[in-house]
Amino acid sequence: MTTAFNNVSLYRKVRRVNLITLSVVGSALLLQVPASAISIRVSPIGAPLMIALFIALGLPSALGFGLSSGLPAQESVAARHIRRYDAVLVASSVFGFLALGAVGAQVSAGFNAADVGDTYLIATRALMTYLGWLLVARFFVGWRAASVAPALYLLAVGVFGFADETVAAGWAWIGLPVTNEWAWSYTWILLGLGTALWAFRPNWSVEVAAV
Amino acid sequence: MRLRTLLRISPAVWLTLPTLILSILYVTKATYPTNYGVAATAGATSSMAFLVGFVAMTAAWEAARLRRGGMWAAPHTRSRLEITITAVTPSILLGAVFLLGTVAAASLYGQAGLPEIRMVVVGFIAICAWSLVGFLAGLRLPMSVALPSMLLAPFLWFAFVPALPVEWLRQLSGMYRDCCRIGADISPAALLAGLIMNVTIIVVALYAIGALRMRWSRIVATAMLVVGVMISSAFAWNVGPIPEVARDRSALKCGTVSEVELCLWPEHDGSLQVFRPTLNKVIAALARDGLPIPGRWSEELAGSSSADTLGLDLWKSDPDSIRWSIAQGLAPWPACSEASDSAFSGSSIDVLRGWWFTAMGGSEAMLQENLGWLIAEPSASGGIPIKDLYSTVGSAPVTSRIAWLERLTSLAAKCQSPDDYSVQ
Repeated sequence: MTTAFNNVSLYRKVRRVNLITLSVVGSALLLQVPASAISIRVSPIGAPLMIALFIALGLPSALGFGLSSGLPAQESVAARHIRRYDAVLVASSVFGFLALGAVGAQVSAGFNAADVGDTYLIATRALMTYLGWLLVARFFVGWRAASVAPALYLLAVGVFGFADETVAAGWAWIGLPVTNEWAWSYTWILLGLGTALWAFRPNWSVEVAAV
Repeated sequence: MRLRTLLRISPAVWLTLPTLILSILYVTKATYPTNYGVAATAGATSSMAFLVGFVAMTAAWEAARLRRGGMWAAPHTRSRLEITITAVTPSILLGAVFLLGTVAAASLYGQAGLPEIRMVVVGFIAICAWSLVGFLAGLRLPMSVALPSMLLAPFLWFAFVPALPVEWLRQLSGMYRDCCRIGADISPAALLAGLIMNVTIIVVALYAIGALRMRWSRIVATAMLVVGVMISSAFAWNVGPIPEVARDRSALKCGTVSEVELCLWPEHDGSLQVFRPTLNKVIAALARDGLPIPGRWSEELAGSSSADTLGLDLWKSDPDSIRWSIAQGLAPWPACSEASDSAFSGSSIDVLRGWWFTAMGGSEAMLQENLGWLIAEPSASGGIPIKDLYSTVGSAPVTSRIAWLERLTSLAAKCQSPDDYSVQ
C-alpha cells in the first residue's frame, strides 16, 4: 500500500491533487450554505443564476489547473500510465463531489427526507456540464486554456440565456429547472462528447504537438 | 510592437470585433427613455458587466505569456511601468472600442443625441483598472485559474453587487445602468465615487504588479487603498439605489393646452417628435369630456412637483406608450401600499389605469398587453367584464362618470378595493 502510494506521490504533487481535494470538499461544503440557493437575474436578457452555479465551477477550474501542470513531452513517453491516472483523478474527484454533496444535502434536508434538494442537483448538473465543456475545449486548445470554456459558458448564460418570462433558453440548460429532462440529456451528451474526445486524443498530445 | 505582430499574438485584438457585436446586440435589448442622451449612455454602460471580463482576461493572458516565457523576471532596459502599459494597451483598446461602440449604438438606437461624456470617462477608467487587475492576476496566478477568474470577477463586481441589499456599494463600480429618468441627471456624487474607487484600484494594482516603485511604497499603497475606499464610499453612501439627481427645472419648455400647463424637457419637445402633439390631443379630449385632470402636466421628477401636478414619466415615443404612461400617472400606487403589512391587491388601480387609457383613445392591443389578466378575469373588477364596464362608464352622464372615478380614486388612495365597480 505504502509502495503504491509512493508510486504516485510525484503525480499527486504535480497534478495538485491536494488542491483538487480541497476544491471537492470546499464546493460540497459551500453548497450546504443556504445562500447557495439564492438566484439572481443580472441581465435583462439573461437567465437567472443560482450561486450554486458559481460554486460548481470550482472543481472544473481546479481540475483544469491540475491537469495543465506537468511536462507533456516527458509524460507522453513515461513508463507509467499517466493517462489512466488522469482519468481516475477526474472520475474520483467528480464522484467525491457528488457523494459529499449528496450526503451534505441529505443531512441538510434531514435523513428521512425523500430527496436531496434542488440546489445540489442543479450544482451537480452544472458541474457535469462544465466538465463537458472543459473536456471539449481541451481537445482544441489544451488543458491550460480549456478552463476558460466553462466560465465563458456560465457568463453567456447569465447575460444572454433568457428565453421568455419563465424559463432559460434551451442552450442555457444550466439555468433550467432541475426537473427539465432535456437539460439532463444535453448535460449527458456534452459530457459524453468531451469524454469521447479525451479518449480519442490523449491529454498530452495537444501540448506535445504544440512543443 | 508592430501592428502585424499585435494582430497575430494579441487575444484582445482577436476579441475586439466579436465583443463589439455582442455589446451592440446587448444594448438594443436594454430599456431606457428614448431621446435622452444621459439615459442612453447609462444603458450602454450596462454592457460593461460582461465585457470588462474580456478586458481583464486578455490582460491576464498577456501577463501569463510574459511570466511563462521568463520575460517578466528578466532584466530590461525599459521600466516595469512601461512594460505593463505596453502589455495592457490592447486590452484597454478592446474595452474602449466596445464602450464607445455601445454608447454610439445606444445613442443611435434610442435617438438620444449626444452621449453623457462624464459617464464614458468613468467607464473608461474602470476598464483601465480592470485591465491592470487582470494583468496582476496573470502574473500571480496559474493561467488556468487566472483566465476564468478574470472572466467572471468583473461580472460579479458589476452585475452581482448591484443585486445585493447594500445599495451604495453599486455606485463604486463605475457602471450606472440604473440612471436616469428623463427628469433626472447623473448624480455627481455617484460619478466621483466610481472615479475615486477605480483610480484607487489602478494605483494599488500598479504597486502590486511592481510597476510603481517609490519610497515607502507599501505603506503609501495601503494608505491609498484605505483612503480611496473610504472617500469613494462616503460619496456613494447618500446616493441611494439610483444614481440620479433632479434636473434644473429652468430647462423645461412649458405651454398651455385647454387651460392645462404642459411642461416637457427639450429632448422630448423637438419638431419631429410625437410627445407634445400626442399630449395636446389627450389633454384636449379629457378636458372636453369634463374629466378631473390636474392643472399642470410636467416631466420634472414627481418628488419636486406639487399636488396639482401630474408627473409624466415618458419612456417610449409611440402614442400608445405615451397614453399608458399618462394613465399610470393619473392612477398611481398609493403610499399606503408600500407598507410591509399592506394586503392591497391593486386591482382597482389597474381598473382605473385601464379606464383612463381607454378614455384617451388607447388601442385594444396595448390594453391587452398591459392588462390582459384583468380582461381575462372579470372577478377582479367585481364580476363585470372590464370592457363592458368601460363601455358603460363611457356612455354614462358626465356627473355619474366623474362620481364613479372619484369613488374609485378615493378608495384606491386608502388602499381599499370597492365591492361594486358599477356606475351608480
